[in-house]
Amino acid sequence: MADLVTHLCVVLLPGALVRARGLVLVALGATLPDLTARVPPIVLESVGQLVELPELQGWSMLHEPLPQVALCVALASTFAPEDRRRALVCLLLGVATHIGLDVLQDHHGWGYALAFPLHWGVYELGWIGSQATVDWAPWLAAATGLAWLVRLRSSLQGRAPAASEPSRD
Amino acid sequence: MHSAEGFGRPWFVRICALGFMGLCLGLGAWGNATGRVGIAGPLLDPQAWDGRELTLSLVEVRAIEADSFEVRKGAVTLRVMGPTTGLEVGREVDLGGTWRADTLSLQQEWRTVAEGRATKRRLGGFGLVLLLVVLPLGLRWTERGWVIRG
Repeated sequence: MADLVTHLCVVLLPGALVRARGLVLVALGATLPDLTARVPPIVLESVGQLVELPELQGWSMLHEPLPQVALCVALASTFAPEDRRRALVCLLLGVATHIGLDVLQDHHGWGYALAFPLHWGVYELGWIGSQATVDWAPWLAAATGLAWLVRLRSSLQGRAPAASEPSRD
Repeated sequence: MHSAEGFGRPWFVRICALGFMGLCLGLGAWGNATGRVGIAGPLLDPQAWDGRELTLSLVEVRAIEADSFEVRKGAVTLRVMGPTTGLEVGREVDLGGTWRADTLSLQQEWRTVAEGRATKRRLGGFGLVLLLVVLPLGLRWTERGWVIRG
């Protein structure tokens, strides 16, 4: 899996160039696979050092596309009726960017079971190393921060004339 | 009749979706326990794996001895026979070798230390904080559920 900063920047960097309602949900979707498949075992392992817990394996399978679609549907159902479809589309788009980026990596054949639970076979493109994004992350984060600063500045400048327009009264 | 916005019965949709995720989690646990996924296969049926090439990706080094070390992925621990120079407990490695049923271990043929795992974890923490910062900017809670701002 790529790191979370890279996953967020893949969404937020181009997101600075467009005005998209629901961009935050795309960003949330881009983190969902790791939030559901990686965070619980880390938390449980930490808790397990304090209290004895039965070891539950299988979290990594929640990272796969079909369980993620189910999660997006569950999350979208918590939105107000008029926003549910948009929420679902945005979350799914984010999940797609996440899995798309992860599949580029090389785990020596231990790829992703993209059709789980229908099929257990794993797949990955193996174009980049499994740690490759760690080197990109700081640059991507800086570029994303810069892009959003430029966007905020230009939107503030766009508002300025209206705010300073003399009153006609 | 379903509403125009879809999700006719949100609570039912939620139960079905989360139930499906629970099923996937259960299947994943079963797959790990039976060696269908994960690295337990050689331990569950050592003879069937005898002499086969085995590659492990991002396994954590748990113990180091003079001429062998233990790696762990999930709940499964495997012994690896081979040089241990440059290894540290807690580091993650990729390695490959041949499974030997007589010693219930992997004879290491190559190994690379996965550099950057600690940095990746830190980036994960930073990413979570970033997400928590941006979420309230784009969402707000109402009596009817979450609403997208903008």
